[in-house]
Amino acid sequence: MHTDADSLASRAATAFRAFRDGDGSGMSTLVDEVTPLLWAVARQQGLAHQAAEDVVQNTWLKLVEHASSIADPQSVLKWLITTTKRDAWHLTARAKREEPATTDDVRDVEPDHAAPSPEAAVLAEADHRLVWDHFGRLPERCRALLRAIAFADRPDYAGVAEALGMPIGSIGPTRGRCLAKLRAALTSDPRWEMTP
Amino acid sequence: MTPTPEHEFTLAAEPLDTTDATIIEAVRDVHEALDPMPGDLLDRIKFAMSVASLEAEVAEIVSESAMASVRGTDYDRADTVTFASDGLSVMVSIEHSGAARADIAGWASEGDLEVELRERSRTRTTSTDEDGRFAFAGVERGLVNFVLRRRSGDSPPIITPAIEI
Repeated sequence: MHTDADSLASRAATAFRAFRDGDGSGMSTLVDEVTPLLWAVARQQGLAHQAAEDVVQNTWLKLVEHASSIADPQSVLKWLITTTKRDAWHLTARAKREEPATTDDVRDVEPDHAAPSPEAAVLAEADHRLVWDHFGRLPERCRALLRAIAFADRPDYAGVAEALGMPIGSIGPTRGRCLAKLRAALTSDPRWEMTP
Repeated sequence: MTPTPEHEFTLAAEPLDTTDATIIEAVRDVHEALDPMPGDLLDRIKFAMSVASLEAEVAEIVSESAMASVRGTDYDRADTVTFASDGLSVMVSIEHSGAARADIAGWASEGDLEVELRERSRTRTTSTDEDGRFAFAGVERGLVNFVLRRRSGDSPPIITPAIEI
């Protein structure tokens, strides 16, 4: 059974409420907990490393700036996700419009040195390699959804999906089509040996 | 065996179970390993948020030195860092008094300042004496920032970049 404390949205609301009342001590933990989710959202929108960093950092700065205009602290997590997604989208749209074929920004042409090849040691684990393969074959919107919810807690799934603009029922309380696709692909793969 | 659309549809309508939890965890693990956030992103975000919420000026580090150990032990050394911003300069020296703690002695180029020390898990405040001196004892090792406020006038607070204690 999940309680409120298991939900990232509730913990975010508590920290944000205190921050607005002048106690910023919970914000550090909130940044620790939520930033990996925002990073997932920004990267899954197709942003390069540096651009993703800028967008995620700006999302937090906007939270500070607009703290007084967020009416419902319970919606802070959604607000952070929506802001990241929208800004990432604007940035990719602008990049495509301005530089259809080339890029002048050296940061964008730098290889992502932090992203190792799929041969990296981590994928030595067969289960992980399988998940990476099948995940990569999902439709883009499913990858964006599943990668994001993987960095949230289960009670947050429906809210995260909603913040990403996915239809209701995309995930939580039922499995939803995206996770069903990934699960079906994995469980029908003879190499998948995970014990249920 | 290829999953049929009907099979997928049935699966989609079922509640989440432990297999889903395992799959979701694997999705997370794989991304954490293959596309991790830059290691210093969290610290940079927190610093930027502090600057924004204080509407502070950011001081620059103008000099930084690690003095050689006097007595030749690992934890008995002092580091000196000098910050400057808006006509104010502040020098802090850090004396490592043990593995987990350090003492900080500071000197500012003007008196009548309130000095806030932001450690990882707490914040404390002191005032400079008339010569601009201040001190903090037993500071937890890790990253810290100082926030300096002039008691008179209404100039914005000054925040220093994080330094490793």
